[in-house]
Amino acid sequence: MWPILLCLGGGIVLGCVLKMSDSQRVLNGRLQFTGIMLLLFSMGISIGMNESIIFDMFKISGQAFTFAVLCTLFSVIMVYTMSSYKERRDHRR
Amino acid sequence: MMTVCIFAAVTIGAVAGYLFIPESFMASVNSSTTMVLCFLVFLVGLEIGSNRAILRQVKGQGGFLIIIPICTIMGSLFGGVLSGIILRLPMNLSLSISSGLGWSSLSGVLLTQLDSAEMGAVAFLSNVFRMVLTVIFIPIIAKYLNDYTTIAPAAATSMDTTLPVISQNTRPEIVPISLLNGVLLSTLVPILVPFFYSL
Repeated sequence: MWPILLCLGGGIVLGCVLKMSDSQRVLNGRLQFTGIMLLLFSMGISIGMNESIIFDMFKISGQAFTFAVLCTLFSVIMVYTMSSYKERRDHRR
Repeated sequence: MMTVCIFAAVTIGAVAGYLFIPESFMASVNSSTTMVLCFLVFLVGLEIGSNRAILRQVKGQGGFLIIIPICTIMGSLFGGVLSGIILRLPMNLSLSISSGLGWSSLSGVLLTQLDSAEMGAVAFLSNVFRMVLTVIFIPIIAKYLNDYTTIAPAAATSMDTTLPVISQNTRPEIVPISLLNGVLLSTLVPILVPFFYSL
């Protein structure tokens, strides 16, 4: 956890101090894309090497769908509750 | 296009892992993954820190801006706890999966490293499904609920992948709020996933 937090914090501080030009932003975007693809490829390798995951893909998809639906649903309920309260308050003013 | 590349990278990796790559190779893959992950998170931090336009927009919007990301996180965590109870998964793992907040690639890789390839796959797929649900439901949410609520399902993707869908279906003033929400949640994903897993 700590190496990740340090890298994130270091990046934010350096980003605040340095002014990135447009070409540097583009380069940053490309490097991020390459990094993400490499990581996803290695994640794919870990999945492929584990036969139980391949055979349990139906169960894994079901678990993932449950998380997706419930997390999305409760985020919507929470934000809707707060934002409709704000809109009612603004309307009264 | 990005979604196609994401699926292609995972699928090609899975096929290669299943058919060609020897198990002895996996240790070197794991150690290089950590380095690439740290470098990637550093680049994300660099992008967030250098984005001054967001900071200017924040100053003009007031305190309500922070309420949307907080509610999005709270809702996701509550949904994660409920999913964990239904699926009989440990609470720390459920909270960790739900704090991926739509960032499929990072949360999948983090959970693979922290727990197992199986839980990495669950985290990855749950966030891919979340993105699909977001794209489907944003027009309905904008029509029947309100514009602010369209940001909730998008979570961390509200600054990139799902931003065009949000801007098409809502008022123009929602876009900076959506951007800020995405930046804040993207900053928090690499912090929250390992934090909840360590509980």
